[in-house]
Amino acid sequence: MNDYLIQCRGVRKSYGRKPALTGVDLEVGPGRIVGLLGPNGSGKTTLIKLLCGLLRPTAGTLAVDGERIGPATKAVVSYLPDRMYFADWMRAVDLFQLFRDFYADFSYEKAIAMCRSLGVEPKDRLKTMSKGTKEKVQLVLVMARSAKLYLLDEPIAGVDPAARDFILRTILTNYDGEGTVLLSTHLISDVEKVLDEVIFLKEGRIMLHETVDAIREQEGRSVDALFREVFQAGPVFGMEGGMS
Amino acid sequence: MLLKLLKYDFRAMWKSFSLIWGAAMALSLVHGVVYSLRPMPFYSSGVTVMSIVSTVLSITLTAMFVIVLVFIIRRFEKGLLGDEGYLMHTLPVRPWQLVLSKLICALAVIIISVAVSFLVLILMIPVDWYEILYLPYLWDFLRWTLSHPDLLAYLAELCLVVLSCLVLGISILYLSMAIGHLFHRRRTLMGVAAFIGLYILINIYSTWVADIAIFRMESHAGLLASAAVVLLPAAVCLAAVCWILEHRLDLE
Repeated sequence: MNDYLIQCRGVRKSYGRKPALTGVDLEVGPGRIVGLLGPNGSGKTTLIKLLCGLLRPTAGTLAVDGERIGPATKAVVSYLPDRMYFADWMRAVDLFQLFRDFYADFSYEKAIAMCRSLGVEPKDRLKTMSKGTKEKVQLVLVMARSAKLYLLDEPIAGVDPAARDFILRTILTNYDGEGTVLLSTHLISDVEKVLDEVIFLKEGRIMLHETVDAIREQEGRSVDALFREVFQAGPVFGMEGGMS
Repeated sequence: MLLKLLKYDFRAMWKSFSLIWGAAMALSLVHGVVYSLRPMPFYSSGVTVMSIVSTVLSITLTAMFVIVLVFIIRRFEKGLLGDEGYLMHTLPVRPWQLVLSKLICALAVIIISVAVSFLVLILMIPVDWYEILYLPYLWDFLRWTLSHPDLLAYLAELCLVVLSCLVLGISILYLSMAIGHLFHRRRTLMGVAAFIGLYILINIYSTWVADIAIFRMESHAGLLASAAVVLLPAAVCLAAVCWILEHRLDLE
């Protein structure tokens, strides 16, 4: 048993000449709900893609549950990307069968039950489903696993506040309690109440990695307020005086 | 894991081709029935129906092989380099298993489509099987073939050479797409340019190899060597594809 579920050492990632991550050192333990917070372009998605094996680091090492990223770590990571990834000719049940074939921790029965509670008909073809229903199917695929690590990339972006609560409730009521959830977002006020830890990413570097309780005790304010201060944009020249 | 991937890829193949394979067979059956009615009084209308069915059938068969090519390209491009890659590359499998699964499925779709075309030809013109099977020369030919197992070996080796050529062709397509994927912009254009470049390289290689005396088609060694010579660049292409997928994947 490893003390840390996620271990990153000097991780760098560049896309051509453009750096996305510039030396990330990170350790996250099991059984935590961690918010990966930062503005657009801060490297959140890149870090998540490195952890789930969609990208290779330019330099540095990453490990999940003590293993280098590969088929063994992919078997224990449940990943929710920020886009649809399935073929339209399939039905939700086809995807559930696919996941049951490849992931030992996937529960077909739980997936069907989750579909029923979310109002999704699992035998409908995906091409007949609305965008919101497809997102629910994708969420079911991720949360019907008893994974060690859940990587959720912007799960509440682009949906209304009621839907955000619904998605967060689905995540919280379905994830394996012994697993860790790493959730990227810039909608902090919506997720703050469920987080154990937060990681602030800025321009490819970790600015802060702290427990939510410690932030509230030491800083005397919410994570959202701290985030706004850390990532406050400077004034735009020529706009302050308004029109004359 | 490879078998599980194949199950998924073959299901996609069946979804794409069941209709067109079925349509080709049904049309050839109609043609065969109309053909068998030729001596009937409505001979002229039979000929008209036959010509219409023949035209539709030839269009269907042409479409089938165009769809085969499109299917091979799209299954790789969408499945491994497009949005579906977010699913495929996070499965607990190695990139070579993903590529091999796509390759086997592509070969299967070509072989089945060729088989369907032959079947269509047989069904188009109904023959009296009883008459054919009882032709004395057929049995003589079969007896002669079985007494010369060498001929069967040649046939198997020839099939191996054809299969190797197909593998090479598909590998070049896959590598072209993977090379195109290395660029951030104009990936399709770069993929086409890579295909042209690889095609020229393979032509130079095959011209060079053809000059070597051992690779003549008259001997078993020659046929087997030919298959090996074709499979060698195919293996290099597939290894390069796997390397790109493992080290240079960028699904954005």
